[in-house]
Amino acid sequence: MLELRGLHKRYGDVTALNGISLTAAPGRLLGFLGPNGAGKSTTMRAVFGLVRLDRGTVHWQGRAIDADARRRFGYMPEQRGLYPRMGIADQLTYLGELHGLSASSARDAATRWLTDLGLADRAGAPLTELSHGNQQRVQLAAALVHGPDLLILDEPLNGLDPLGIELLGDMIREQAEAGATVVLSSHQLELVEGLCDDVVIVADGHDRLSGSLREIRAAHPDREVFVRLAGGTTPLPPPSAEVVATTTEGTRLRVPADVDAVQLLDGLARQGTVEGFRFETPPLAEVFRRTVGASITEVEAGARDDQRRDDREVAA
Amino acid sequence: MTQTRTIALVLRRELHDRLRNGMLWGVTVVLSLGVVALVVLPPLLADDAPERYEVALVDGRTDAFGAALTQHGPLLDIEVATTVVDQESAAVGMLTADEVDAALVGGPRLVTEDGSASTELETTVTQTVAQQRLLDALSAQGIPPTTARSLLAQEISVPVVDPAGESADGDAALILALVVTLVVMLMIQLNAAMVLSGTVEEKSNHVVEVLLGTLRPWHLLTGKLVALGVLALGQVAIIATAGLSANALVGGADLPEFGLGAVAVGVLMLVIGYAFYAALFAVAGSRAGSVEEASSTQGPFLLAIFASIILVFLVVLPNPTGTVAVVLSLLPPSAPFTLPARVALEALPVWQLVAGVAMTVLGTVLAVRLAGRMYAATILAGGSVGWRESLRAEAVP
Repeated sequence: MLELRGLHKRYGDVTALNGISLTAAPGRLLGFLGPNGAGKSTTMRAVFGLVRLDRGTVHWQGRAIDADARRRFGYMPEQRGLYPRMGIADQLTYLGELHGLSASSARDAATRWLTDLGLADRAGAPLTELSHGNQQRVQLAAALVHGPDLLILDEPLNGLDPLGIELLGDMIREQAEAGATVVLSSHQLELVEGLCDDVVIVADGHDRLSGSLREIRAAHPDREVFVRLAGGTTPLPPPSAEVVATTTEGTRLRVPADVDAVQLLDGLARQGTVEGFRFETPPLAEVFRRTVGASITEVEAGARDDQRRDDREVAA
Repeated sequence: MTQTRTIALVLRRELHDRLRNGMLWGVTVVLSLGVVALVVLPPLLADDAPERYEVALVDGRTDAFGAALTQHGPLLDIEVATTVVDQESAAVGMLTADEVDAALVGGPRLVTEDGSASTELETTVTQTVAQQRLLDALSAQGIPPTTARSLLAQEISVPVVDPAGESADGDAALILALVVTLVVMLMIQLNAAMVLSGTVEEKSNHVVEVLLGTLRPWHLLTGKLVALGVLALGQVAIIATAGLSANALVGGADLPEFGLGAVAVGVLMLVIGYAFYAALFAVAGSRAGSVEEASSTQGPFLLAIFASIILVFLVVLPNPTGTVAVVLSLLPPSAPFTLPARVALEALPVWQLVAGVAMTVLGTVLAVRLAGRMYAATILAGGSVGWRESLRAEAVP
């Protein structure tokens, strides 16, 4: 169990962490979600002792983290990279040894991972000779080669194509299913929605909402309804609903969570033949918007505007 | 897993990486060949045969005079052979026919084809004539010419010594000082530059972020410094072996006695000076965001090396006991280059050697501690970091 309590960190005038707390459990995948600059990377670095915290505690299995515990962790930093000219099998072996494996165990683990990734025939190749997608997979293998108990992945799906997202997503998911504690950060909520068991939503350096993904979506006061009537007829929303969007595919409505879905469907069926109907808890993006008061895109745009204003003031 | 094993793993990776680097081997081979050339070429190219002169003697000069002339020649590094003839005309005839180079005729005058002679031949003839007059005068006083001649024939050697009674081979000492200083400078600069490039590479391709997930910055810095230090000593061993082997093969000169001291101090200062500069170059690398930026962040340290070398060549070698030489011996940036040169020139009192080594060790300890802190503060920062910023930055615990 990883427990972070009340983490505070300032860099001069900038508050990076303002009381962030989170708990990650074994066998579950925790999504650590928020806009760029919310404090996700600083929090993850704090787990590895790369940040001197002003306040707060970082505990693993109920104790402060020491070098021995850290060797059982796997880390994929946001700024990732490996030695460009070193053979990929040698790199994985080296990292395995640094994490405490014997030379032979590290070599065996590297071979196993490269075989699983379909890269056994490229074991001696330097990283730069691999495609971007394969480099990303080797990068993830570098965090996994020693079979870590805790896996900290900072924006692991950034910059990947859909196929790469699916492949790496499956690899990460398998780690949690095998019993590892997995923490994965992202500012692209739609990418990780299908992966996470639990989420912590973070903004402005502190956690705003946490719990199992199912629970926090269920706790949202609204539900999203999709309906398509025959002939492309636009339905008249019932009094408690509002239209979110209408497209050629159909109409999206937002209704209170306590609306009776069967009665709603009956009402819509009276307006025409219902060809499609879905009654869903809202997506993570909507949960974030309601929790923080703005979408991730809006928060990041606001931060950029603030930065530009500060730059102008400094220049003036 | 112990910290020692962590550092050993870093060290092993650095060694493997550098030993696969063609540039390391290229530099080692070029330097070895350079030293071999310095050892082998001078004996091969040197023309040690003394100039030979054939001189015709007339005006009653005898074979005994010719023997004296032949004996005096080597004192001025020439070889003189004589032929006694009866007539001056016969001597001039031989001169015209190129059978002799000069003729000593009545007067006495030394006749040559163009009316001039080398200083060595002229001086040898003049001394021999003067000696002959002395022998004649002694004979007139009743001292037999054979007795006087045997006294003059005794080999007399007047040694050249310093006030302490020590004699030195000035040229050999200067060459040794130059070679030792240059080798120390090249080894320090090349290997410190490798520390710099390795640090820049790890930072610019972000592998350091992955590594710091399990090890600390000082593990990385220590492993890197030790690995490159071992390689530097290995390079010196290869270069020295090449030079000594070549010297043995061509039957070259014996190393002067003081040479071993200069080499020993050179190796000692190479180790200490390498640690001093490599730590600073590691900081320069950690402050740079790219290889291009590293060329400017390493500027002050390169300047310190080159300024020290220029001062050694221009000031210390010509005046190895002067105030500037003493000051440079005590300053950590310049001592690694100054101390071996002064030992080679036998111009370094023991107290200055001890003080210079102690000051450099102290400076190195401070540099490594400061570098360790700055490295830990800047290695995770993206892009380039200014000096003031890196001094104020918070080090990774």
